[in-house]
Amino acid sequence: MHIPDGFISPATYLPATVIAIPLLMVAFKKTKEAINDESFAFLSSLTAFSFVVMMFNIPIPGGTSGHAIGAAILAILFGPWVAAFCLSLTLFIQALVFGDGGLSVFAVNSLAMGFVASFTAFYVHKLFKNRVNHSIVLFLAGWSGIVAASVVVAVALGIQPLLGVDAAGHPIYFPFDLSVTLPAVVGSHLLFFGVVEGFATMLVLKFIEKITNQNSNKEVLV
Amino acid sequence: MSQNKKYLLAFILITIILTPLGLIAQGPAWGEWSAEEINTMIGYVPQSIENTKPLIEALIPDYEISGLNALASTWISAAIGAALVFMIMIGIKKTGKRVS
Repeated sequence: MHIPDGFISPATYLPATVIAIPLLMVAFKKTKEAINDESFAFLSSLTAFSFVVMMFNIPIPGGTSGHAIGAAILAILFGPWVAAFCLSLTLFIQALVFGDGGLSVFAVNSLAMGFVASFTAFYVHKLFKNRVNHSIVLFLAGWSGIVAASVVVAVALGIQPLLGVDAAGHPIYFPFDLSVTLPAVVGSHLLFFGVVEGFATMLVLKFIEKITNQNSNKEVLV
Repeated sequence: MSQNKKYLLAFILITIILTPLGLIAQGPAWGEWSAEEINTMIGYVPQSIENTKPLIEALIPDYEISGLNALASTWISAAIGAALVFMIMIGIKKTGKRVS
């Protein structure tokens, strides 16, 4: 879902940048407030996890691949703003150092995998917790977050044929329209990568719950 | 180091060690094709995809370090990414304290 440079028009990424800058400023401020001696280890290792988990490319039928993003884990533990900042930091390092996702279109990737995924996961978790089985809620939060992000990416890519055609009638930017991008990008996340993100969210948060419960008693005693 | 920190460190180290599993996938993510791949699919390369250069040339494009095999490249890339995250978070923690 990392959109590369040149794939989408300035008419898409400039407005996205204008929207993303103030949001990132708020997210940065909230992250600064959230980092303290206790939260630091969790916040940084789970952000590092989001970087690393995006390297686990999983092949799917049709010759393409994809991966989890780890947004829901951070959103459930630290809230959607902090999660959006942490994911955006990951995406920025990927774009700058590894050329994974374009720097010029960073705002679009940040809005999709950072903000939309984190806020969706957070509110799905909030809506269903205490109503549905705990594991299922964690799964649903992960699944819905990445699926929501995939909708943003599919729309950003799919509107490109409308935004520029050259003299030969060929699209200037991404050449496939919504009738192709929606099933390909959203469909693959609904069926595959959403499920992977769901299980990753469930397993990692259960692990976090386990280690914090195990040690909270001891720390209180000390 | 507290017990939690030890568990978290082990968790992230194990994840980094496992990253070469991601190399099993041959195909790219849908849509993240190179200009050549797009040319093969539709018979031309859209102008902007052909001509747009990255704002800054990536140091380790596609997590591949020249001269190293895929396994070592993947491990080093994952370790660099994770280390950068930790360093930036330490930086943010320090500025946060100074402000308050």
